[in-house]
Amino acid sequence: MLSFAALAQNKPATPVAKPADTTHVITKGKITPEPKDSSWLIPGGLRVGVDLSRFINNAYYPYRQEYTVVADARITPSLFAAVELGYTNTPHSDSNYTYKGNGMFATLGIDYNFLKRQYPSERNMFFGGLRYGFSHFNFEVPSYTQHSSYWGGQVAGSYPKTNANAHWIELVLGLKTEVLKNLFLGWNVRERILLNTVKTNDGFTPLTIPGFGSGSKRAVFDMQYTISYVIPFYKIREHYHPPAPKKQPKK
Amino acid sequence: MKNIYKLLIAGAFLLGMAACENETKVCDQTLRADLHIGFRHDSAGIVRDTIFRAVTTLALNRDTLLKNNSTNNIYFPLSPVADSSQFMLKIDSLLQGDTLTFRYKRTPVFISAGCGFGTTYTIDTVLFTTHLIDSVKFINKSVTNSNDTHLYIFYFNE
Repeated sequence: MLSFAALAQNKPATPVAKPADTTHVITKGKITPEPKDSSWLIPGGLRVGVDLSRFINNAYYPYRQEYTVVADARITPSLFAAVELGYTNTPHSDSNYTYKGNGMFATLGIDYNFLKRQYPSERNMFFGGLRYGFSHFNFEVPSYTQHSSYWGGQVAGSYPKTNANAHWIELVLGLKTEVLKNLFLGWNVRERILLNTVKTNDGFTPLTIPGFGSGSKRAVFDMQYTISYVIPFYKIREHYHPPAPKKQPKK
Repeated sequence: MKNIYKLLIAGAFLLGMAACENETKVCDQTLRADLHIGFRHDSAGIVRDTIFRAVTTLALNRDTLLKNNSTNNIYFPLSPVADSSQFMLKIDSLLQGDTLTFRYKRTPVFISAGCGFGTTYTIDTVLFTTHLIDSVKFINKSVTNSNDTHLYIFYFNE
């Protein structure tokens, strides 16, 4: 009973305090809005790195020797121009055939950073990207053998060196995070869609298309794990944009 | 925030490894380009498919392919090591067999990274004895798979 009495006594006390606070706030006055033409500099720069996943890939799949250099440069606060360059070598040999292939590839495109920066100079990224990929390569089968169990004996042959080009579109989604000053680690997943058909006149498809992946598929899923370094040799001016007025249409 | 990045980075690493497959190790499509032959028989003026009770086939000097099987169609695996193949065809154990000789052109084909290479054939001519066979008719001279029927053999008197 005593405690109830205590509560009853406390309750009326709070409303008394509140008016005192509100009057305090009101007397403080209005906050002056930020000037609309303010701007500041945010770090730009060229980010250069390598794709580490290719080395791990190679350990699992010895016929895929790939080397990829990635680079991107900030164009606007959230838009980046992205480039990838690479060389691949495709040696393979088993009881059926030997295969030799090598080639260069390049992809060109943009990355868009979706991550809302918590401070203007934040450089962590969660991005989506679009790329166009092109590859020029050659492949050959120096020798193949075909075994005939019923007739006995085997057939041997070879395919001459063939030059080929491939074009594809790449959709990218990934992260890049600044782990040390100017040093970034990142990963991304990507879907590549082949635009042309790579085949010899005899219907022979390459084992791999440099930069694309499997030579027998129209679309492939892949991932990258990159370590890269930013050379921050320029800055980008970011302007303050006042939030769009929402009250006006309601009026 | 930093910890989330670390987890995502580690997760992506494992995901990437699971996504690939070694195409040179898996042979999931085989090339069967055997010559497919159907039997046709004239009974009372109507030509139709016919089943023979005890069909025996073999390539000359090779193992038996079919032995006394009841069937209305047969497969001859053409030799990828020569430009002609000879087969023996007996439609009944009590009857005399016929010999068929196929002459053809061979074309090597790439099957897949895991399976390697195979051979397809384009038939040029067929020569046959006429102990029981009346005639033959080509439906398809290019033997690129075994699903098509390539040749009909006509029998008129068993």
